[in-house]
Amino acid sequence: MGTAAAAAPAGGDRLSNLPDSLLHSVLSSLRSRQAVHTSLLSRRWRHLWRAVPCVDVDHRDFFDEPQPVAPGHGASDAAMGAFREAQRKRAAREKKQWRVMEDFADAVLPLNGAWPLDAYRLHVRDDLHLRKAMDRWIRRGLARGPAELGVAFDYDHHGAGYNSCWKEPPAFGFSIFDGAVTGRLRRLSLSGLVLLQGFPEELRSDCPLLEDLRLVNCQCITQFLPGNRRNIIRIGSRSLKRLVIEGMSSPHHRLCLTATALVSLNIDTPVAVEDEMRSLAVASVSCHAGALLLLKSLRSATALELRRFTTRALVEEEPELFREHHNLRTLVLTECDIGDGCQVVAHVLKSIPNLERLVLQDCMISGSCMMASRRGAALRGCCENLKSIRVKYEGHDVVHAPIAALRGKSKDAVKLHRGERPTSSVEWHHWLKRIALCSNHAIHLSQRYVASITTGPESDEEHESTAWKHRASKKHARDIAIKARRRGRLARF
Amino acid sequence: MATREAGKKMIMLKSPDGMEFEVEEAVAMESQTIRKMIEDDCADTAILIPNINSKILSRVIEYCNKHVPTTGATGAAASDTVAPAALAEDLKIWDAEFIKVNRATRFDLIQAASYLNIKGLLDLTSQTTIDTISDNSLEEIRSFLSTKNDYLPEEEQTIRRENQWAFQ
Repeated sequence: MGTAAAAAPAGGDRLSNLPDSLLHSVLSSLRSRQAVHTSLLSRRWRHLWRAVPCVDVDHRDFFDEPQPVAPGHGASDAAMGAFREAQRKRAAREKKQWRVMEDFADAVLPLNGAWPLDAYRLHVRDDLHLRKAMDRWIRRGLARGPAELGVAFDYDHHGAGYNSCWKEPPAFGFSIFDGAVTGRLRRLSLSGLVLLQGFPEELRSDCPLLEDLRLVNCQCITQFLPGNRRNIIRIGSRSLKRLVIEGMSSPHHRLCLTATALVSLNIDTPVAVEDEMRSLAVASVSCHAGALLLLKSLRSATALELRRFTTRALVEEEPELFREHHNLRTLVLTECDIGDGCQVVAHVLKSIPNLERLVLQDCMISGSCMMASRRGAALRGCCENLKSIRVKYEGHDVVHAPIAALRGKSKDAVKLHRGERPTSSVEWHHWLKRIALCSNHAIHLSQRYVASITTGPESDEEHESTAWKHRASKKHARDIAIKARRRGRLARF
Repeated sequence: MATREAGKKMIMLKSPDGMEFEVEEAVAMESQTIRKMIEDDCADTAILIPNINSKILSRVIEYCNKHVPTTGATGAAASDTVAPAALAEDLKIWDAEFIKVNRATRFDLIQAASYLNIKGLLDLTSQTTIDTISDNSLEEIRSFLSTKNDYLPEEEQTIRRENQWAFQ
């Protein structure tokens, strides 16, 4: 191998020359099918994939054909015939494809797999045949004690097509998989599955290391309770640090969080909090019934994202809501109504004393509230620590208003930069005028500030890193002469 | 906030070509390797990083500077950046800019990330490498990596037969 590398041009096959362990970690990011295909690259690669501690089986590697487009109502018989023919052919091809996939998954997940896996990811779409095999694949994967487990099932809600099973999504629970090794599990991500009744309990008792939990569009099986009583499902464990729950609401149960060590929370489902989460640092909450109550129990958070809240909820329902958020440094409002006079911005700046950064993402200037009359002077003297307000639409910064500019001594004139107009319906300059009105400070925004969005230092850390880079580049220049001499020698290696 | 108050302690990192980098302890501790050295009190004055040249080391420190958690998250979670989606996105954009380097540098970064045990950087560099080679044909990958196909045709057939389940 050494001679081959020497013969290669400068900067030749550096990847192949890396040690095995590194190549394993590189191959870990690859889906299994592609990982096996690398065995054909060269002799060096022949057996590398075998020791990759990750298995990633994904239906997208096997099924790539889109569903034929059905002709609309009143289409001619010929068009219908062609459509049916296309469907039939596709079904025949798919039959072969699922065999291929089944064969593949069985081969990469042997019953007697020896080493524990670092990661096991399975992504299966709704298909009768694959569904039958899915339990087996989950069982075999679990038996190899993965540290990270991800199971996703693309549940076909419409149940269209012959291959849909007209049933509930497949069930998941640790208990039904005999020989399951959950002791090493650190990260668990489940999507589109039915969680068996004992699952929350198993999370608490059988997964002592679990830190990350992500439940997306999962359903819970619950006992039937007489009357209108609802089951309480307790999610969480003592070790859990990061939790994401999306699309899990149901009229049949109430979710309850019991995770005392939680650091990060992202939730769009009504949930009650049982124990205080003292170490919680980052939270993202969507508007739902009871969300304000939830926000109250997140008072230790340093960064908070609120999604789709209305002006009323933010300003009027709980005027004292943010008073206890002493740690809050960063607030992100996403798709919120911020009031037709930016009342929310004013309210937030006023009631969160230590706020440093405010980000407004895709927010609407709509929704009225009683506070309108009070805007203006009340803001003086508050939000001493505020460093920046940032406005984004569809991922683009519109204006990154450094707070220095808001506080600047500039005149009443509101100068605006018209370069980066968002595609959104909301006119951002309108927007800023309102913020300017709220804060009673003139906004002076010019090309200079827009330039500072992209290049300028925005926080202390970044500032330091720039200064540090400057120092390093000076040092670098000093040493460049020595290095130039060495380079000739190094190139030979 | 503990990291920030205690974090002002500076650590000197030395590269083999004689350059010295002074970084905050919290930044240096993004590297699990250095973290262990610090925790075991093996790092009072300066740490020599034996196999990473100054150019790469400065890039690595740049990365760590950016990724050091500012939220005061618990020490164990140092390598996982905890931020709401909106802020994580900024970091991702920064990452994408950061990794726009030539191949040789990227492989150096992989090696450095592995030696210093910086999970985020290792994931980033591996993923970028993988992105460039996945969904390409074998020939394209070979030419991209400048790997020479040293199989005999019959050997190649054997491999295809052995792993038939993957090549059908």
